[in-house]
Amino acid sequence: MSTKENSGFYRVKEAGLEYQHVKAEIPTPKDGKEFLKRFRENFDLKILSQEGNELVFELIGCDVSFANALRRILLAEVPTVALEYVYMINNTSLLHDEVLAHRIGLIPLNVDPRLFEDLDDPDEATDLNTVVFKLQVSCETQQNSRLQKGKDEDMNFETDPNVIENAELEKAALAATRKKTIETPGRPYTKHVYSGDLVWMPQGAQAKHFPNGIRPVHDDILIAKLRPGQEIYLEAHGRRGIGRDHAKYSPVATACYRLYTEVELVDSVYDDDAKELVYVYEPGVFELVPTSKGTRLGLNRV
Amino acid sequence: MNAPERSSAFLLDEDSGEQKCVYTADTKVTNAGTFRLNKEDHTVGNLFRMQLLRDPNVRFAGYYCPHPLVHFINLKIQTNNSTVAPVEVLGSAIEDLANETDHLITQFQESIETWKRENDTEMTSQF
Repeated sequence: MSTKENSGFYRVKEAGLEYQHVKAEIPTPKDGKEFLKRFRENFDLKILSQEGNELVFELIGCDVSFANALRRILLAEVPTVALEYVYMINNTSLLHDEVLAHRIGLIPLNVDPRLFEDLDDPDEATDLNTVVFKLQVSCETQQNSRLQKGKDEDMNFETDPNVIENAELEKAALAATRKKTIETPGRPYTKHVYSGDLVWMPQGAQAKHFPNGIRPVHDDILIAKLRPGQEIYLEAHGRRGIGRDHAKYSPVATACYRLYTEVELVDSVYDDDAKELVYVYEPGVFELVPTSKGTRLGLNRV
Repeated sequence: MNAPERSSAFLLDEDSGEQKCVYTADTKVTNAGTFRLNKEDHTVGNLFRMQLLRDPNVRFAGYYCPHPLVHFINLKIQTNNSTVAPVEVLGSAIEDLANETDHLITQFQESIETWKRENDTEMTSQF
């Protein structure tokens, strides 16, 4: 039994001698306490970067199945709040009811799901387990707006006269409606319905619990486009759910992991051979280390 | 029309008295048995299997999902000697995993604190 860590033996083959490596056997832990001790010593978690909505971190000393389980749970079992039950009052847009409901369900809401309870039966909706949003937008016909042009210029509307006369819209929604209006000459005006148009209706004690209000995460998600004379008026109820139920409840855009292999250099490689080998793997694995004996191939240890 | 409820993939069916875990001892092989974990999938199956294989008392450990449309897994365990039962071995595996996860939580929180201190950026209340 060799005492070196990378012991091995020679295997005689037709092509010649082949060196077979045998890594030193680490004895399996006797029981749970020893396993846990070993885990605690070897395990390390380093956060590599965090930008905006993306977090990259490194798990060292942990098993693949653990990382995979973590990934699967992030995708499927972390609860979120999203809109589920959509009650249509008037929908004269080009999108079918169910298509519109589907799109509204996919809009991410800026709510902490831990503050809500689970809702099993939509009949038993209370303020503890349901969020209510209202969407009421309509596209003015051009004739009406042209007639009102005289009137509007007296009022303090800074934008084009095609803004609908519904002054109950929130400021953010107004800003959203001003963005990106398509005005091609000869074609009727198109109204874009954005996620910022969704208005939160606080139920019961929710106004107290959420003083900052509940909004969608992004205000500029395009839900539908309306032509003059079309209207959408609906009420949407949201509840808590998990990704396994429906993908809209998944809190992550994506969660992935990558297993880094361990590369060991058995023998030192110098000069020309080293230069050739540097580019064998993807850049960053090997590096050229200048030593007294020449340029040696080294491992890039992060 | 024939589609089953999505929630039947992860909620136990109380009407038929479904239990989370059902154990059947193996008749032909000693110290072996099969656990049927209802409403579970690879997330937990692979994790248990890997943890069981690290136990020196376990001779055989494997899991499979019989069909993707029926939501349960079968976890087969065989231990080395008749003094240790498969049930005990699975129990200790689950305990070890729970401790491992606890340690992961604390380590993660420490790493976040270190990151915040090092970078000193304006972190939102995401964390």
